[in-house]
Amino acid sequence: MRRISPLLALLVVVGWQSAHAQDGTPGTSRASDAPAASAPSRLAPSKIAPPKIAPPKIAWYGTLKSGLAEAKRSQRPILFVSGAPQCLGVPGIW
Amino acid sequence: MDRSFLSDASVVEASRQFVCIRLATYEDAAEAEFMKSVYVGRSGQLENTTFAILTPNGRTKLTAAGRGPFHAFRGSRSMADGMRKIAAKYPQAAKHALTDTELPFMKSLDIALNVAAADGLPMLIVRGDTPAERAGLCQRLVPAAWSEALAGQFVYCFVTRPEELKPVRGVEQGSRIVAVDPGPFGLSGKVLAQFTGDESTAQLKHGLLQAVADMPRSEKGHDNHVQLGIQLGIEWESEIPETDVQSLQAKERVRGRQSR
Repeated sequence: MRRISPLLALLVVVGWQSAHAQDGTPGTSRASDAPAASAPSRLAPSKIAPPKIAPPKIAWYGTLKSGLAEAKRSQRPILFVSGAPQCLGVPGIW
Repeated sequence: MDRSFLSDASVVEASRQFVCIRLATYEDAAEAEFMKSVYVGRSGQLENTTFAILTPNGRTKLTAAGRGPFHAFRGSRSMADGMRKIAAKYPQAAKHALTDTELPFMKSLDIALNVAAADGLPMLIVRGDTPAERAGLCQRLVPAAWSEALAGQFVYCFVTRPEELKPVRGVEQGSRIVAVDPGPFGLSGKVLAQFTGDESTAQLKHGLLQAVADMPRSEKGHDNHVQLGIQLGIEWESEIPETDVQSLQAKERVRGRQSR
C-alpha cells in the first residue's frame, strides 16, 4: 500500500460499505452474498432480461507498451492522454 | 484532465478508429519519459496531464500537444471532426475499430482501483495463477470486452497471487473473473459479480453488463472529495515524484495548512 493513514482509510471504506449495505444499493449486497454474486453465470442468457446499456465510453489502454503494440497491429492512430488519478494527494479523482 | 471533451458522444464514437492510451502520470518512470517526449510545459518538467494525437508508431504528433484536448481543438465537436479527418488518412483504422485482441490491463491492481474510482467505473480483475490460465481467460473475455456495449466500461487488471486480492472484499476461492466496485477513493474494492471463467461468452457478456448496471453511481464533487480525503488523512504516494509545479505549490498550501 502506498498510502498514509491506513486506519483512517479503512474506517472510511468500512463506513462506505456499511452505508451501501444499509441503503440497499443494487448490486452492492453481493460482496457478502457469494451465491448471488455468481448467479448470472449459471443462468441461460436467453431467459434473462438484458441489463441496461451504459452510455458509451472511450476504451483506454492503461500501459504504454500494450497500447503501442495494439496501434502497431491495427495501424490505427493514437489518442494519447495522461493524467494523475489524484488531486492534492487524494486518490480517486482526476 | 478535461473530461468534457473525452466524454462527449461524438468523440467517443470517433475514438473507435483510434487506439486510446491513457497513462497514469507518475506511476512508471519509463512511461514518464514518453510523456515528456510528448509535452512539457514552461517548467521543463512533466506536468500532471498531457494530450496529443500520434501516429500509430507513437513517434510523430498529428496535433498540437498540450495539457489537454483544448490545446488542439476548440470544443468536443471540433475534436470529433478532427479525429475523423485524421482517421480517414489511415485505411486500416475503420476496419480495425474494436477488433482489439488483448484486454487493456493497468499496471497493477492498486493503480486500477484508483483509476476506476476516478472514472466512477467498476474494475475487472482477471485472476490467473499461470500465464497460460490468464491467456485462456483473456481469450474468453476479449469478444465481450471489445463489444460496443462494454468497451470502456471497466478498468482492467490481472493478478497472479491470491494475496494481491487483499484490497478487495468478498472474492471467492474459485473465482477467476471478478467485477469490483472501487469505492470513492479507490483504496479497497467490493465484489459486484464473480465468475469461474467456465461460462460461455454470452453468459459472461450478460454478467458483465449486469455488473456495469449494478455499479453504484454518484456524482463526486471534486472539491468535496479532495477536502474529505485530506480531512481523513488519505494521501496517495505515486511511484515517482510529482513534478507539476502548480500542483506541488497547491499541495503545499493545503496540506501545510492542514498540518499546522
